[in-house]
Amino acid sequence: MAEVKLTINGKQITAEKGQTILQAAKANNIYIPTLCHFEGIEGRANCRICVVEVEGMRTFQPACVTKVSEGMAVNTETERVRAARKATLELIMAHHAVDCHHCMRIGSSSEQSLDPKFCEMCFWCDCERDGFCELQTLNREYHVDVLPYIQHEHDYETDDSLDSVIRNPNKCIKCRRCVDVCGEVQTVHNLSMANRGRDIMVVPEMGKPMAESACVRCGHCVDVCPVGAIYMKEHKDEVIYMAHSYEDDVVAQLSDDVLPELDKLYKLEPGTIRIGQVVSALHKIGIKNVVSDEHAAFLAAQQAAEVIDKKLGKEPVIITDSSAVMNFVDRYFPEMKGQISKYDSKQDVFGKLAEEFKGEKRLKTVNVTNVKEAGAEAKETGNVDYAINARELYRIFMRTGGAPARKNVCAFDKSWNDGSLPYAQLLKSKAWNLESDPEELAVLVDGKPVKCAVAHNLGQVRKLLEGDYKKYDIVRLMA
Amino acid sequence: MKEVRITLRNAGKINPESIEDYIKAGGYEALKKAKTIDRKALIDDIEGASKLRGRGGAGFKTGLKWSGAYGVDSDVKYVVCNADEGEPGTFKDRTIIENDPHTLIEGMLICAYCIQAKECFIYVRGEYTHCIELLRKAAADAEDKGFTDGVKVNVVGGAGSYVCGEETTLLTSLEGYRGEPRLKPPFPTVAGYLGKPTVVNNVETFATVPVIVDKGSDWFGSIGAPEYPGTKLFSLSGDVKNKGVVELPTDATLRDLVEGFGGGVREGHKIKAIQMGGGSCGFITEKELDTPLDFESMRAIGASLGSGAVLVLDETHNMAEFVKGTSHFFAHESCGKCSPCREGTSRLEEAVEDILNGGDLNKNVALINKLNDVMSMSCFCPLGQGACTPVVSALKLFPEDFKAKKEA
Amino acid sequence: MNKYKEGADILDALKAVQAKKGYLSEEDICSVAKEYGRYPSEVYETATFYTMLHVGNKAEHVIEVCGSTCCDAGESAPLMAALEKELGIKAGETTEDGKWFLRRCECLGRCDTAPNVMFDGELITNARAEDVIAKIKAAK
Repeated sequence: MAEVKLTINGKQITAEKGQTILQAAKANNIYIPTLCHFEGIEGRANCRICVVEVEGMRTFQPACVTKVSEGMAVNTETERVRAARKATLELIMAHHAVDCHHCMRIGSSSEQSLDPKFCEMCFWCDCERDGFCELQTLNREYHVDVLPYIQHEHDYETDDSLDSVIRNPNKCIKCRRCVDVCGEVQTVHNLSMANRGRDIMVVPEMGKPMAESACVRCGHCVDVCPVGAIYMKEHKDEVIYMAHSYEDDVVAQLSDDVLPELDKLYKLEPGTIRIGQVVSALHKIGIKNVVSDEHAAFLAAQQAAEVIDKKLGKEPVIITDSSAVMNFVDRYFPEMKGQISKYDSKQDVFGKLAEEFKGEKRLKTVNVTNVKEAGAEAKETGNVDYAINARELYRIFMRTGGAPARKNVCAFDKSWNDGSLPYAQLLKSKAWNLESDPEELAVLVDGKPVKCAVAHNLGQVRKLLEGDYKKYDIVRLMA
Repeated sequence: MKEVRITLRNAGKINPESIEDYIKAGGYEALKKAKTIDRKALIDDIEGASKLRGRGGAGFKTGLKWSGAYGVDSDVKYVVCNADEGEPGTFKDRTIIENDPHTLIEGMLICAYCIQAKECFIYVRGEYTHCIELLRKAAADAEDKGFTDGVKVNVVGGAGSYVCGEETTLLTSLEGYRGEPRLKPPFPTVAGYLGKPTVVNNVETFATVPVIVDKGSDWFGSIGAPEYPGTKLFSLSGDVKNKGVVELPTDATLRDLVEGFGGGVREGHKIKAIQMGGGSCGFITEKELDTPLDFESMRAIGASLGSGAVLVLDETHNMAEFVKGTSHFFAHESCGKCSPCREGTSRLEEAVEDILNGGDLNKNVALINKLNDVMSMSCFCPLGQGACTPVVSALKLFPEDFKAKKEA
Repeated sequence: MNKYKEGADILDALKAVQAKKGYLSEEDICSVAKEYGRYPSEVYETATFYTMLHVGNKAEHVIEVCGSTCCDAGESAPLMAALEKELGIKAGETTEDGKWFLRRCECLGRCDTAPNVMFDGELITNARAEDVIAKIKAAK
């Protein structure tokens, strides 16, 4: 790779040719604020927050897309650049439904009093992103407080037709991350930009409500939204209520995929919080029975293994445990539906096996996982009462004082002797990614290698179902 | 000063619907001549001797642009004509097309020969339905007569968007997407339409090319101002007696245009302001009437030649009212892609409106300056970067118009 | 992902479909999308962007008054006010019976004949309020 020498804020650095200013800065521990940028998605340079001064250029350049060049002199923190960023933030804020800026509990609109910790504990403002909001963070950093404009909030209606993925266009900052994830990564092509100028907004296909649109409920738009414009309906109150209720017995299935996110939210070193500590914290808030998701994973994998054993060598084996994949197939590959074997998700399995814990009281089930489609799945299939993600869990702990890092390690309330996962390499839990190509692997079956592919997002699912599945013996699809 | 008709040489003399008329007037001879010349030599000649510069507004050297596309190794290249004339006060491209569509097509075919393109597009603004029909007929006739020689000339219509006049936006729109600008670099000459090397020029630029090839670059280079030679079409409108399109050598002065051809303003009135270059440009006053109409001279007085729009306003106009109109225009035409422009253009309109409604002048002026600072530096494309210019210019030149309103 | 799909005449295609009834319906957008091998959402994005395309706006007649600089200087504002009064709506609104849609548009490139009005796609130059109102009455 060819090297390029440049200076950022007077510091001589070496970058790879083709890198953006942002990448080069990051590699050299120089911070440049961003808002619309999302690692892995092609930069759009829409928000103009990452603008920097490049000597010899008439205007500021967006660091997220401007490529480094030999001898380039970049300044990221001059007074003018900072003023421009602040002015841009003010413009965005003046057109954003700011629940957090007129918080009932604080009774003030001053940014200094909006301590992030305080917001995360607080249930008073309506914004699901409060405390995690990237716009809020930037506003603190740039001291955006009193706006020089009359606040205009759109009065678009909140689209809660799905009752899981909810859109509040009044908070949208038009970064288009959701549109890119929905269109380019997931290739669902549902979320789109409508209208122009100040009236532009993100809408589901043809401006329909989510429930009637092409949405497959994969939940990844929620994950990338920097603000509270698209979010998964949260159930913090309900879970705390249930846990404290004398009428309910609550069983929670806990997946370790929430741990990295919890560490991040608590600002701890990765790997600090141990699963047993979370079990302990869940006990503390009143959830009596906590089980690991490993047993559900095992039972689900057994189902999948049965399909594999039955079909392998006779016909292409296409398996999935995702209802979002099935929705996607319904819409784009209806003719393939018969060839795809749907096995139970961990959440499905848990919903069924939770019956074992049924006593005198009402049984309530909570699946604690960071799987993005879990919330929508719970809503649509009713397989569990609630699915909560790491962020909700964090908020519940903040609210109830259940900080897991300070808890003792506690064992799960029930364990099973399952043995090892069948086709572990293929069927173990895997994470979503933004790649365009599916993962390829060879699994040994009866000593012979079998060609497998795993789709880690719906774009890869599309690629496989368009014909590439024929190249493999076993295909596993995830949304 | 007399009008010199180079680009408009056939205007009024031939029937624009008749290719025979055009041929009789010497049409398509330049194309034949061009094809006898080596491509690179021809481009160098246009760049070096004729010094032809883009007539769309940016004034980029045409030859340099062509040699950029020529130098890129690609099987597929495109020539695109920007006929999305949306700059308020500009109607010269319409005049060219309505009078002589073939000179545009011939110019494009010469360019296609130079850069070895096999397909040309003319992107005409959607409102110009008559121009679209004329050009479609002209392109079909040129093909029938064999002038196109395998090069396809497509005429497509826009659908109402000012920002599509910006070249990268035009290409995005040509691909059938929302009219939003693309990043530069890569420049269109490297990755333009469908990601292929593409030359995008204005109607006037292409329409001037056949004459240059025909009569020689040296001849063209000797007319008008040395660094911006040739003639330029001006769209004269507003409070002058005679409105219309005038073609003048670039060493003519603004006075020649406004007083000579425009006949000045109505009796008993005087010129208050001239918006030179189009809706996104600042104002100049009577004092600057003797400025030559070329790119550098205009820039030297802090104005710009732009698209050649000349809007004359007499003293009956209140400039605050007037710039409220221009800022409404930008708020309406902002594509909404980048935040400073999307939000800033309507805030600008709001501030001007507030002044007109008797709001705090100092506060609003400070806000306008702040918006100008951020938008001129941070916006994605020239629309946002220039949106504040008329307001800031009016505030500087005619502060009394803003104050008067407050007291009234 | 194929970033540059061909579609140079999608706008023309949409305009042609629209010409039949004055607006674009969901089916229209889907059929154009199919023709060009695009997703309906992509064509929807395009269709909602341009002012000459009307998605789901079913007004029978569209009157557009140019309000850009030169027409503004040529007294387009009183003209608009007269039309608003005649139709009983404000610019940007549709009459209750859904027949008339009035709005301000931007530069039509006829600055030498200001003010200009587009009446159902037909250009009226040097427009006077009486003339336009007469046309409205005739169409009623």
